Amino acid sequence: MILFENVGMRYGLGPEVLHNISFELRAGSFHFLTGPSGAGKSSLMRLLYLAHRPSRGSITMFGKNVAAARRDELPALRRRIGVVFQDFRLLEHLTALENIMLPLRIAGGEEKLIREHAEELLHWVGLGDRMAARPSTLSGGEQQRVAIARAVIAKPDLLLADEPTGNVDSEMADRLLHLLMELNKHGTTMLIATHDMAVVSSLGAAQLHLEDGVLRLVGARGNGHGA
Amino acid sequence: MARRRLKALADGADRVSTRLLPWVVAVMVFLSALALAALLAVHGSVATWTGDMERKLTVQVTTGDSAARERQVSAAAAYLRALPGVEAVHILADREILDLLEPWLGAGNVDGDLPVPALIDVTITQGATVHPSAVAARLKTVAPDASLDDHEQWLGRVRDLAMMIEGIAIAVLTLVTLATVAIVVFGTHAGLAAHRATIETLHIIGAHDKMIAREFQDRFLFLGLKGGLIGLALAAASVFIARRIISELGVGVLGPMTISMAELAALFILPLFAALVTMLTARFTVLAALRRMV
Ligand SMILES: Nc1ncnc2c1ncn2[C@@H]1O[C@H](COP(=O)(O)OP(=O)(O)OP(=O)(O)O)[C@@H](O)[C@H]1O
Ligand SMILES: [Mg+2]
Repeated sequence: MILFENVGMRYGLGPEVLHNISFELRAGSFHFLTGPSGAGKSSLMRLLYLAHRPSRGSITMFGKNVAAARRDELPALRRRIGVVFQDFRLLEHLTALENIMLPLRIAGGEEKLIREHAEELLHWVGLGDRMAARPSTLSGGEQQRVAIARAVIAKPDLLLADEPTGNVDSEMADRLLHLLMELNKHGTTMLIATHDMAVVSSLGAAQLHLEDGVLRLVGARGNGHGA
Repeated sequence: MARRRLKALADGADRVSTRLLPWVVAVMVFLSALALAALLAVHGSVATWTGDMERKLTVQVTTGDSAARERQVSAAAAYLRALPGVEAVHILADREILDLLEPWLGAGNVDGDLPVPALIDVTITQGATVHPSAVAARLKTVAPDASLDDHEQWLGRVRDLAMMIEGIAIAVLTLVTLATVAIVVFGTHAGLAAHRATIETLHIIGAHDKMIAREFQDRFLFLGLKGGLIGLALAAASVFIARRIISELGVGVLGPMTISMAELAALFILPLFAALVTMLTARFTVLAALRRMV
């Protein structure tokens, strides 16, 4: 499903922040992306959610060489990917519910069905009573859950989550991770960036480990379903 | 699919860059409307003057000898009446001539002793052509002191003036359109910068450039329309006041200055045109800027 071959990445004319990255993620697999702060986890994520083109190497996703994809081919590819950003990136002037509805409204669909689905998801992440709240009035953990709900609403083939448990207590982290694993069981390929090694070892899923922009370790537990 | 508005761009984020836009458009439409109103007024007046004048010839008989003058006038009138293409020949009475002079010399300053030329007013049949130089030459043989004025010199100057005013009006409209485009490009770029993070997020969620452009163009259409209507209202008020002043002054030279329905429609098209220019400029600016993003 995802194949990286000797991928390098740089920001603008800056130094390379990712070097010679090669790995493969099978459809339906569950991986953690680990590594110390500044190792390049978010940068690798940017390549995966097609916000950045690699400076070298090739990236194949959904059977397509995305490094060379035309601009107008990107939206269709991106709609197959759900993203939980490290900084959430909720739209400030939209309510929690409207933020969650956004991917489906972009993809097109009946407003009423979208709304029902979004409400259901908000309940699923435990925020059924905060539908009309603006992101700025939510706690960090609550915003994170809205971000997760927005990432999964379009039933993506690939879910990328950057530190999805960074702002919640361990109990909520556990709940969210189990939600994500639930999704993975239904076929969504999952890649979760974290530097919380406790979470990784407790779930014992396969890992990609980055250090200084170099991939050190691929799949400690092999591919396939986690835990 | 891309029809629906997402309302994903907060109005507040680019308020600084768009707050003044309606007023700028208002000024632009105001200037355009004045230019257009002037153009239409000149057009109308010139058409009225020249339309009348083109069918008029004036024969002037100047001689101090009043008996000779009488004789020459009747000879000239007789010749002109016989001329094919002439609809009417009217010998102006002294009183009529004095009436014509009065606005220039002042009422009461004109008396019967003033030596005035005899005037014959000739109206040419609609559509007929009369060659002034040939008529003038023949006229000389029947009335040696007669001279023919076909107003061509005067008409030419009026037409030149009208063309110059038209040229200026068109230049004003063009410059105003270009200035509007420039200002909208500037405002759109500021708006894009203010919304940069949101736009990236929308892209990553799968939005097409066109969806994002629509968010902008709808806003700018509204801003442009608002500004355009304000500008038109200001222009309408100015034109109304100007016409009141002109008619109170009784400056007859400007003619009736009536504006036809078609011309009125042209004025109402201005704010729509301004809004359209604003919207399309925003759209193409956004699409061009987005193409430079990933
Ligand atoms: N927008 C950017 N422009 C330039 N350099 C950047 C940018 N974003 C990240 N970097 C650089 O890329 C390198 C990798 O950063 P990245 O954010 O990918 O690390 P990370 O593993 O996600 O760290 P963390 O765990 O703190 O989130 C760092 O050296 C960082 O300074
Ligand atoms: Mg990061």
